[in-house]
Amino acid sequence: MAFPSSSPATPRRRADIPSDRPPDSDPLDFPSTPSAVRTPRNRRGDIHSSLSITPSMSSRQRRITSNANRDFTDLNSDANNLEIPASSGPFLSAPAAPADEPDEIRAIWGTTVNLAETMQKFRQFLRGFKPKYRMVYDRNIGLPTRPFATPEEGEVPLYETYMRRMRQTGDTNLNLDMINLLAYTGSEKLYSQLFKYPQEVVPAMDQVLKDLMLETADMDQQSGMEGMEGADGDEEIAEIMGRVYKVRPFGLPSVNMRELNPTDTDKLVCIKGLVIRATPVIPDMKVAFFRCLTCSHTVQVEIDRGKIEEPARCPRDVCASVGTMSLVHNRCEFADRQVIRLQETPDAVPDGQTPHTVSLSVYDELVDVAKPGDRLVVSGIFRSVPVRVNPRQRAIKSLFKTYLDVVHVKLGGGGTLGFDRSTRPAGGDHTPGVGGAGDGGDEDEESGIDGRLSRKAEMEEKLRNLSIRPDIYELLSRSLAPSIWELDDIKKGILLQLFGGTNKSIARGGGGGGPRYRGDINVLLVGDPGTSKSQILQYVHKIAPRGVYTSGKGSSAVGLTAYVTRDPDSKQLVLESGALVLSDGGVCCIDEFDKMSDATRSVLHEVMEQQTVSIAKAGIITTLNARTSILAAANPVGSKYDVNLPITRNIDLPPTLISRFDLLYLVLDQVDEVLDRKLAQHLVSLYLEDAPARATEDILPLNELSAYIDYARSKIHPVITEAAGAELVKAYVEMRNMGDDPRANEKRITATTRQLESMIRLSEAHARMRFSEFVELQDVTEACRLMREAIRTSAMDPRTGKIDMGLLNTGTAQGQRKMRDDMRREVLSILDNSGGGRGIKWADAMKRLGDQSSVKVDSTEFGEVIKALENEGLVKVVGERDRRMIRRMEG
Amino acid sequence: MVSSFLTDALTDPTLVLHELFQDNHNIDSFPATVSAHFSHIFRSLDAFNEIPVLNVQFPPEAHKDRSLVRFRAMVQDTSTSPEMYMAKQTDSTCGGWGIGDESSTTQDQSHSEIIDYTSLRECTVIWAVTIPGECSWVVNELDSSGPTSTTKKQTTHSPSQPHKFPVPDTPHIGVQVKIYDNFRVAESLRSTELRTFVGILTSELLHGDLETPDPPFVPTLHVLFSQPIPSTLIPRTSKHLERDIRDELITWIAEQGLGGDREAAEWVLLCTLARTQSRSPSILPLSLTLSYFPLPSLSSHSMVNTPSLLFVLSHLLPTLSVLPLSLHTLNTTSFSPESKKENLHSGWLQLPSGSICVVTEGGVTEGGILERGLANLRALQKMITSQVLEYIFPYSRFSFDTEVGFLILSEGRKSTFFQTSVNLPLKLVDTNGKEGLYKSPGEITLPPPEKLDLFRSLIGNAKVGSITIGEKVAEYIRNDFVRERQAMASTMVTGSTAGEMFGSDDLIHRMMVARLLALSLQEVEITVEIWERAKELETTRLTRLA
Repeated sequence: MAFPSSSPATPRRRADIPSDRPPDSDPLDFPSTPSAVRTPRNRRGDIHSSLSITPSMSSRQRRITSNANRDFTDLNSDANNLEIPASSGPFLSAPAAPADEPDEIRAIWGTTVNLAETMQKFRQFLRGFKPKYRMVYDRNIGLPTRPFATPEEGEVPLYETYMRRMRQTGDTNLNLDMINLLAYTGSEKLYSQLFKYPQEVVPAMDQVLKDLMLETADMDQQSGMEGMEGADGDEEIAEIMGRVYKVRPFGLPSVNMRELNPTDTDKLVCIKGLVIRATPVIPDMKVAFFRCLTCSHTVQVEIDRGKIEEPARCPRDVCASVGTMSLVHNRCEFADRQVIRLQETPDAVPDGQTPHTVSLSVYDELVDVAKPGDRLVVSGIFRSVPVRVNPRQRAIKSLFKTYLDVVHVKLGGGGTLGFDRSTRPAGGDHTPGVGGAGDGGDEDEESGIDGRLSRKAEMEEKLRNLSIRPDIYELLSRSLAPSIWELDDIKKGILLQLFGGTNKSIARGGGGGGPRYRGDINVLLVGDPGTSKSQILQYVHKIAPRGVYTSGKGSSAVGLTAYVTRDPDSKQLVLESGALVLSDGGVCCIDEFDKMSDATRSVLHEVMEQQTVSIAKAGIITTLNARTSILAAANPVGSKYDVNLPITRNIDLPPTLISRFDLLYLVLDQVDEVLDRKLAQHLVSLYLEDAPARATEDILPLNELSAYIDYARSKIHPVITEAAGAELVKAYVEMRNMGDDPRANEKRITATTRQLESMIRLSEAHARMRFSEFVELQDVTEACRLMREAIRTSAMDPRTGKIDMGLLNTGTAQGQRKMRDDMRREVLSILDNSGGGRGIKWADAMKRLGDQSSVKVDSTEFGEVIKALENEGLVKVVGERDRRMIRRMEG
Repeated sequence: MVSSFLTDALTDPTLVLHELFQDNHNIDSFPATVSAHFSHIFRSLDAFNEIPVLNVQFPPEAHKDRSLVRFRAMVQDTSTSPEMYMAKQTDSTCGGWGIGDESSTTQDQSHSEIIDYTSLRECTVIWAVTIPGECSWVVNELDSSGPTSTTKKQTTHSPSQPHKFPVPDTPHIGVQVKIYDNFRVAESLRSTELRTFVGILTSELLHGDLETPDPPFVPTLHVLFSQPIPSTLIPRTSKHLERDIRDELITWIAEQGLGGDREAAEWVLLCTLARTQSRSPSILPLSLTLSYFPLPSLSSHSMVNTPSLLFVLSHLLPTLSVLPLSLHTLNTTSFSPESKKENLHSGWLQLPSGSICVVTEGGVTEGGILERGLANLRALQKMITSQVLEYIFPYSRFSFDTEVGFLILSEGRKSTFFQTSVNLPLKLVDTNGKEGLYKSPGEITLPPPEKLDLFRSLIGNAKVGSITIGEKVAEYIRNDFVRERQAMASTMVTGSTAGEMFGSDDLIHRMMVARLLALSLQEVEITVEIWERAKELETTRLTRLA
């Protein structure tokens, strides 16, 4: 299909105007001549159609009138040049022909599209479209719809509302959801016309929009709407007259940019991508102004397909001198233009391929809307234009350059990785224009994309069906890292972490929301080397939404949080996000957690409770959100976990940090013949056969598991029921009471409010996993079980065999505290007994203490006790290392 | 008949294209026709070998413009956007393959030329380079058969886009490849894929660079058809060779490259055979560190700084890349490919599947490692442990699966920077061992050519061989594992050594060694003997380490 009317068939249309045409009949051609009030011509950079509609209403007519006619004459003269016999002459000389009914068949050249009909239909659409039509349409194709708050809401003539708003805000852009065209009876054809011939249809729509703007304004003035009475109204209308209105269509199904091919040339397409580079604003010449050096005759030449053709000779017959036309720069008209390079987003790139890029040309209001790093959904006209490069040495090569002339930009497409709005100035990042999707509500991410949607709906259906399976919990945990042996409870814990609890904030608090309670669940795995902790982490990183994997050893505090760099292109300082910020809303997997430097780890304190990262660098002071769950793995201090020591002595981590983990699992390598045999069988079959045997058991594939989690996280927000609440209270009290031992005279801490919060989060996650809107008893039961299991392994004091949360919270168990007290007493008595002011040697003291005691004296414990005594001023340590002496201070 | 086709195709491929187009006006199916036609003409190996080669010896300058060449290449960059071309000229003749670009010369300034958008088609544009690290014996074997009539160019070819070759400052050919038959080949091409492209060589503007004011001219190959290349470069089958060959091979490697250390030679051999078996679970190539590998003594000998092991290996392996670590390479060069201004710059590690990369740490001196260096080290370690390489694009990174064996030569007791699956201290046997490690290529005693061929086949065959395991042996291995752990546990209880527990990772490691051992022994099944031998190999290695 050719659209020659849009091809550069007549690049010098203006200059080619037959000389028999009255040269001064059109003031637009010769603006140097003083003329009547000029109305701006609609020159859209994104369209640059040869069919330039010139809304120049000289009087307030409320129909498609002379303008339309003039446009068609333009079109006809176009056709004329294409040697199509047409009797267009009369139109030229009769620009103001009465045209209450557009009687001529004025079609887009080479097609059956009747422009007048198109305009008429669009007019009806703008007048008649109501949100209810969209709802009916959506429902018919099986989309979930949002019920209207009131029946009236569905009955509002949507675009009239938009037009009023445009008048009030002075906006000139109307965003048009193309799906709405499909939803409105009578305008369905417009959808395909717009998609196929945007060059012609968009300007026609612009024209209709302007006409209707005027009509509505006039109507409102008549009806005496507020602010539109009398002179005010006249002023408004005059203003509208002077404006250029633009329709910005969007809502086509987006295609992958590698699928763009020559058949899409000059059609409207929609693609998604990531901005990697944007040029500064380029002044783009729209109309060139030439003056003949001989006779001072002036000519304006419009841009055509990105080119301006210099008239070779003076168009005036009397003059006709060759090569005398010179450009007068300050009389030319310019528009803003910007070239953007859009790269495929990682999720759109086929496996094993490198991303492609495409050039975008954006104009006027759309300039500077997108910045490098943004994800965009772009609607535009696909262009392939020949480029002539004429390098010195060789023959001219004709090559084709392809790019998109953008008509509509939507920021933040792609769902998962939206940009952080806090990095943009308030209000500075919105796409210009009025109007969103037809349902009047928020623009749902995918709402305009029908093909994708049905697939999405199908997937949803599937997920829902999955969620009602009674063994869904087992199925999901089994599907998590299926190649990893056993470790069922750990997998369950991590599974719940992936679902996460709900974030709560006390909205009624002052200052736009009170404190926020995190819903993210943090999990720490501690264990022997070679127990596939890293594999679990890698796996989670793959399926978790916005999962980021980092190794504690390799990452500095800077790599985790954010750093300031200078952008090589723009030479501006930019804030680059580190792992924690990148995983905002996801899971950050940190391997070798214990090998992290203290500085790095200190960052995590903030992240894990406050869920923010504060940056103060290179003049940039900011707080970034890091609402991330942390899944960390750590190795014990020695190469092997010593079961005779409490966990705090086994991991080199401050207790304050450990206590921030909701679940702490020990993964120990225990020798057990049956298990070992099973493990060996598993491994031998995996590693020695050429095609590793796949587990035949019923597991969910990775992408489905990921989709399931994603869906639950975004759609399900469970609320705690009364029964569940009561159970939570009961479980908490029970857990606390575990420390109450009637025989002992001191109290151990077995559960703190942190544990209660953890239980709430885990219960919520479990409910979410079931796709349940309510947290029920079973959720709480399972959450408590998981908690108990995790606490049993991690918070047990090996000396007493009792669970003591104090171990995790402060690093010292109650039993340990008691032991320290005993030791302190003994040390003091030894020192007192040794007599003399010289004190005793460190090693001697330990030895003597050991002789008295039935249990082995731990050197670290001893050191702690001495330090405490020193702080109290009771003893003094002199000397270094082995020669340390402990002296009793008199006082 | 066929022979006349052959000569036509060889002498004037453009004309053949034009003639083909006469018979086939359907511009949609034409590219497929072209590819079928030409691959039919050159289907026999003899005919294929008739095509002049494009390589470092015969650079683009050595060929006439628009002559037919074959180019054995690695795909370097697939991120260039497709290019539009007129599939049909205004005079209804064939377009594409660089034809017709010249036609506008005559029409020059006449801008009114009507473009028929319906005959616009797309071709895929990629960048391909000489296979990095391709050993000269492969070049001789595959390229020498071609006609040598083309005058050998004396001037050295200077690549137009040197940043697109993994190894800096190395002679190579880089070519812009345009593929018209999109659906069959082009869409599936991946970075580091090996392919022989046959097509018309000419020189064109660098595509995708049209925005820049003065885009450079680069050698361009308009592909008529292409063929995949196996990772062994020379096709291998798993046919049996004499058993002694393996011993002789190990002896030769040991004597010529490793100062007589046969055990090290065996490990080196095993390491070169390794390949990725599966990604999930990940069974990746073993990596080997040869520690206590002495530095070249500055006083003695000539200027040879390269271990002779490298020359030895280059006689055996089809592709061998050397990454000489030094502060300079770390801090100033790039290991991962990186897209700068939408041009994918290559990095040291952009290597084809099946190649072996030797990392020498001898050149590292004291000094600071910059951020770049750290990123490089991390990229290399990641590739060693998980065989993935991240390509850096603006605002995003893309991971690509790799399959490269790593051999690290380190002076210390372990590699300064990297963790490998195997670490083996070198034990020199020869008296003049240290000198023997740094011989110049000329000093290496080569076995007779037939023997060398057998060596190469052994390695090549093993690389494509497959291994199974019988139920009995599997049972044996399982019992072995259980027994070993029990023994370990009991020694641990009695105290003394708090050594590492023999765990699942060790079992996996041992199984991988056994596999490679079986492959090198030309076996198809792991036997109890091989298992025991693998264990022995491990045990002696561990005693060396202690």
